[in-house]
Amino acid sequence: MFNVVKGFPKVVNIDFNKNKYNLELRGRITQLDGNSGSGKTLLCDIIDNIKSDMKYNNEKYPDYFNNIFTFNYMTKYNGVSDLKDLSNSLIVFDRADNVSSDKDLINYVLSDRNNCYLFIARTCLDLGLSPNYICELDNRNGVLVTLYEFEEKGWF
Amino acid sequence: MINITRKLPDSNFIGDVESMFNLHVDPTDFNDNDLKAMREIDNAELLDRNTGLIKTPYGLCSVKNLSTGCKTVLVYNYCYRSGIKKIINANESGANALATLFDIIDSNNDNDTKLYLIHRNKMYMIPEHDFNVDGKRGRNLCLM
Repeated sequence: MFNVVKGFPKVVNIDFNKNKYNLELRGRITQLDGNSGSGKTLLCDIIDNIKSDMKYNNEKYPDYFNNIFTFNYMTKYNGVSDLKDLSNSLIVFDRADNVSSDKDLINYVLSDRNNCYLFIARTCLDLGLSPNYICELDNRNGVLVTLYEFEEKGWF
Repeated sequence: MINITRKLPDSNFIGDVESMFNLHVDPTDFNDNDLKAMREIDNAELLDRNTGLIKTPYGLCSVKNLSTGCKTVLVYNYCYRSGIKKIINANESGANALATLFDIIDSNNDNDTKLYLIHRNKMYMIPEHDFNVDGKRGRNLCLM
């Protein structure tokens, strides 16, 4: 069973149609950025594709995809009510640059201890994240991996 | 001169460049600048203008699957061609898309377009461009 809120750092491996991801999540909230065209939105599209494919080919994918949910903050998110029923889940927000102005979501994320969040954004999210939890998506030998610039003890 | 504002504009603002691109920008109108930007930023080649089919390192897809940074550049090109003078949200553009966008704005000698840009997590050293950031002018700036 994929336990989202324990056992960090957590590694999520995704392999779909020759696109491979190796994502290391260091904490309950992680921010992901990177160059344009590096495959951040593709990650959400792939997760959505896998989840719809799982309805017909359930054995083909690891169980933990049942616990991953994606939201496009600009088009596919209707408010905190979308998140209330989720627990033990990795929640991925794409295009989350405007999250800092959504106080309801920020308060919910900061108080939620049952889920893990991955925000795809470039601006500061006002979530009090230390640079230890901000990573970039980079292509290493055909595998898209998360690169953390900082690993300072004492920065939470 | 590249005009940048760091305050969220109240009006005359293209905040959602994805929607602007999907609704208004037509691949049949793409010129050499657009195709070059697609190559530089997303490594994408336009295969069919009528259907908007493109080839990227991740596979065949539509122009609607281009990165938001690339779409920002294409929306700027569309606005410049059409004479639309608006403030464009460049926050969703990565460093590679910003470099291409600044090059294009400078080559157009465009002093009318403004970019809304505030990346508080990152610092970019961008040489060889003149900037006007909320009235303060400079060259070879570090932008955050």
